Amino acid sequence: MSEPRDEQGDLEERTAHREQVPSRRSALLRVGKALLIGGAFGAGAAVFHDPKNPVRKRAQKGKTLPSFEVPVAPGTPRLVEVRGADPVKNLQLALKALGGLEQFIRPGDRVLLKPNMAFDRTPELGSNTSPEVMGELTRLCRKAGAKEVVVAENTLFDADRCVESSGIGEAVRRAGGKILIPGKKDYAEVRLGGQVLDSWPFFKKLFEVNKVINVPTAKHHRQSRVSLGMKNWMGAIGGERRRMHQKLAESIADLAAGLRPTLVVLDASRLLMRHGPTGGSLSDVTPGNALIAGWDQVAVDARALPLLGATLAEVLHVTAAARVGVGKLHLEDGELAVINADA
Amino acid sequence: MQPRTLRRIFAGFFLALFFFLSLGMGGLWVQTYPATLFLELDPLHGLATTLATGVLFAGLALGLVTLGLTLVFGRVWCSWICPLGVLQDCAAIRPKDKSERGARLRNRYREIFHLKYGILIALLVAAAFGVTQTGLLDPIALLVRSVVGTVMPILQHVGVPLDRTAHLTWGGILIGAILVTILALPRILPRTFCRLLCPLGALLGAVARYSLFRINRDEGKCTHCGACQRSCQGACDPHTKLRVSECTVCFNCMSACPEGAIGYGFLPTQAAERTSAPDLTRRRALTAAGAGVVGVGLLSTSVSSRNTSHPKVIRPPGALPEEEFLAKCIKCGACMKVCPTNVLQPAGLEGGLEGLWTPILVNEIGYCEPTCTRCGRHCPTGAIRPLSFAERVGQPPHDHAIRLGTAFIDRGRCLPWASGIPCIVCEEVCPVSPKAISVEKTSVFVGSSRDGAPRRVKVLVPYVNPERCIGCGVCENRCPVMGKRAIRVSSVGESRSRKNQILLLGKE
Repeated sequence: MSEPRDEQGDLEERTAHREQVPSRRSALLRVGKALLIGGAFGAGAAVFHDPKNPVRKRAQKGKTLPSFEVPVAPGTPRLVEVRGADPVKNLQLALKALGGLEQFIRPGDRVLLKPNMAFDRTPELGSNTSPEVMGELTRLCRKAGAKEVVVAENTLFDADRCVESSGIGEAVRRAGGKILIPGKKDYAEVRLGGQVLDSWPFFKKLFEVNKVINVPTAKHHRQSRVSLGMKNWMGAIGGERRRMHQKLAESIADLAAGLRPTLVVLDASRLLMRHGPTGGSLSDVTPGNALIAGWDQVAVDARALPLLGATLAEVLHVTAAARVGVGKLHLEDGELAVINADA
Repeated sequence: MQPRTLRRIFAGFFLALFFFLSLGMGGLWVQTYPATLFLELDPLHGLATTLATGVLFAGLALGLVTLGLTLVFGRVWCSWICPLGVLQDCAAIRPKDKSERGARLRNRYREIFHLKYGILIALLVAAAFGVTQTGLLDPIALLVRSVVGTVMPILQHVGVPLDRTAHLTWGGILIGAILVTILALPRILPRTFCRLLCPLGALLGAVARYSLFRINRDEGKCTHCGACQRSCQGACDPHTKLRVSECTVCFNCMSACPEGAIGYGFLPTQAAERTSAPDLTRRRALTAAGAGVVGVGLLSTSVSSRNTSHPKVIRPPGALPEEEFLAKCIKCGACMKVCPTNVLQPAGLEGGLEGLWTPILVNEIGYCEPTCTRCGRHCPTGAIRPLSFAERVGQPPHDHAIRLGTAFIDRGRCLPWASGIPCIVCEEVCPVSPKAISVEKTSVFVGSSRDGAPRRVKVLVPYVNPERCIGCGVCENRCPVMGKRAIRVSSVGESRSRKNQILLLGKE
C-alpha cells in the first residue's frame, strides 16, 4: 500500500491531529475558529429570533392615493351633457363648456386615462369605450401639454385581444398615448378606510401620475343595474375583485371615495341596454348620441341613469357614493349645462 | 477546420433555433410563426399518424426532408440537428470515468442497443391500430413537452420574464423528472437515450442503411489505436466493422484519428461494414410487433376517454372526436405553449393511461378565450384542427359556436344558492350572447343564526342554459368560491362528440 499523495497543507493538518499535545498556535487557532463559528450562529439567531411571530409581519396597509381633482374656476359647471351624433365633436364641445381641457391638464402633466377596455369586443358592440373618444381625448391631453398619456386597464379577457378588438390600442397610440396592461407586480396596496374595503390593490401607476381621467362607457349590468363612471374603477384595481359583488354598492362607493379623478368623461355614443357588461350582439345596442363630462363622479353617473332607463332607486352604488361624500346627487341651477351639438 | 467543429457549429445553431422557436411562442404575432418546425421535420410523427389515420397532415410532409437527408448523408439528424441529442452531448462533456479504458467501454456497441428498434416496431404497430403513443419517446415531442411543462414554469418562477403565467402541474413534474434523467445519464453512458430508446433514431437508422455517404476507414493506414472508438457518439464501432445504422455521422472519429485513416465519402467500399442493417433478428422484430398488439389491447380496452367520457377530459376547441384525437395527438404540448390563458395542461390519468400528457382544460388555472384559435393553428398533427373564426364563434354558415362542455352550478357551494349572499360573477363574465348564465331574483332558505330556523331571503341566483353554454370555463375560472368552484364545466355537450351529450338537439 502506498501513501496517498496529499497536498502540503492537508498533510500538516493530519499530522497535527495525530500529535498528543497540540502546539499552542494550533490550539489557539482551533479555539478561535470554534468561537468564530459559534459566534456567527449566535449572532444570526440574535438577529432573526422572534419570540412571538412565526413569520415576518407583512402589515402593509398601503398609502392613500393623492386626490387628482383640480380647483376649478368659479362658474364652471359640475357637468356638461352634450347631445349629438358625432362623439368627437361631443367631446370637444363638452370640454369647451367646462372651460377647456387646459383648466384640468397642465403642461408637463402625466395623465392616466381609464377607459372601459375589458372585453374582446369590437366598438359597435358597446362593451368598451369608443376608440374615437379615447383617441381624441389622448390627442387633446397631449395638446394641452401632457408629458405622458397612459391608458390603463385590468382586462377581463385576454389583454392583447381586448386592446386590439376595442380599437382603443390603435387610436391611442396614433394620438401619442401609451397602453398599459399592468402585470401581477404593477399593483400597489392603497389605503381606503371605507365602509367595507379597508385597503385594496390599485394600479401602481396611479402613484406615478398627477392627473386621472375616467373614460367609461354607459351600459347595463345585472347586479349594479348600470355600469358607468364609478363602476369603471373595478378595472383600475387588482386583487380578488370577484369577492366585491357580495357588497357591491358599498365597495364601489369605497373605490370612488379613494380614487378622486380630475375628470369623468362618460361616453354614451352607444348604449349596451341588455346582457351587460359583456354584450356581444348588435341587437342589445342602441345609439345614445350623448356624452357627459364633469368633475363630480356622482353627478355624472346620476345624470346618465335615464339614458339606460334606470332610476336612482335601482342603482344603489350611486346613492351609496353620495352618502359617503363622493359627490352631489342633485344639482342646482348653473351647475349643469346641456348642449345640443347638432342644432 | 476539423470536421467535428463543423458539426458542432451546426448543432449549436439548431439548438439555439429550437429554443428560440419554442420559448418565444407568445403574443399575437405568434400566429404566423413556424413554432412547430422541429416537430414537423420529425418523420416519426408523420409516419405514425399516417398509419393511424390514413392522412399525412399538412406540415408533417416536411418529415420527408429529414428522410431525404438521411438517405443521402446518413443519420445526420441525430448529431447535427436533434436538440435532445445535442443537449445530451453537452451533458457528456465531462464524463465520470476519464480514463482511456472508460472511454472505450462507454462507446462500444452493446447488444441491448437493438431495443430501440423493438420500441419503434411496437409503437408503429400500435399506431396502425389507432393507438398513437410515439410522442411518449419521440425526442422532439419529449423536449417540446419538457420546455412547456417544466422549463418555462421554472424559468418564470425564478424571475425570467416570459409573456404569461406558466404553472407547474403534476404532469409537469413527471415530465421534468424524465428530462433530468435523460440529461444525467450521458455522464456515464453517452447518448443513453439515443442509443437505447429513441424510436426516431431507430427509424432513421433503418433508413440510413441505404444512405449514399458513409464513414469509411482505410485499413491500410489504420494502426488500430482505438482513438476513433473512444470518441464515438453512436457506439457504431468505427474501429472495426462500422454499423451504419448506429452511426450518427458526428465526425468525432475522423477528428480523433491520428493517421487520417477515417474519411467520409460517396458510396465507399462496403467491405469494412459489419452490417448496414439494424441489429435486429426476425424473432426480435416479431416479439416487438407482438408487444405492440398487446399494448393496443391493454390501452384501448381499459376504461379510458376512448370508450368512456370523463367529465374532466375537456379538450381544446377544434379537437377531433376522441378516438381520432388519440390517434393524432403526440403529446408535444405545442398547444399548451401557445395558449394565452394557460388553461391547457398536460393530462394526468384522467383519460386513462393512453391519454397521459394530452391537452385538457383546467379551468381553475385559466379559461378558453372565446375567440381564440391558436391551439388548432399550432397543432402539428391536426389532432386539434385549425378553426376559422366563424366556425369557432358560430357565425354563418355555422349554427353554433364550438362547445367544449357544459357548466353546472353546484348549489351547495354557490354563494347565493347556499348562503343567500349576493354574487353574480359567473353571469357577469359569461361571454356568450345572449348570456348562457342568467340570474333571477329567487327565494332561498339559508341557515339562520339566532333561533336556528331557516330564513328566507330573496337574492339573484344564477341559472345555466345548457343550450347556450359553450363550456369556455370563464365562469368557473372567476367563481369566488376558491378551490372547488361553485360552477364547474364538465365535458358533456362537447361539439366534437356524438355520444357525450345531454340534450336531444333536433337535427343532426
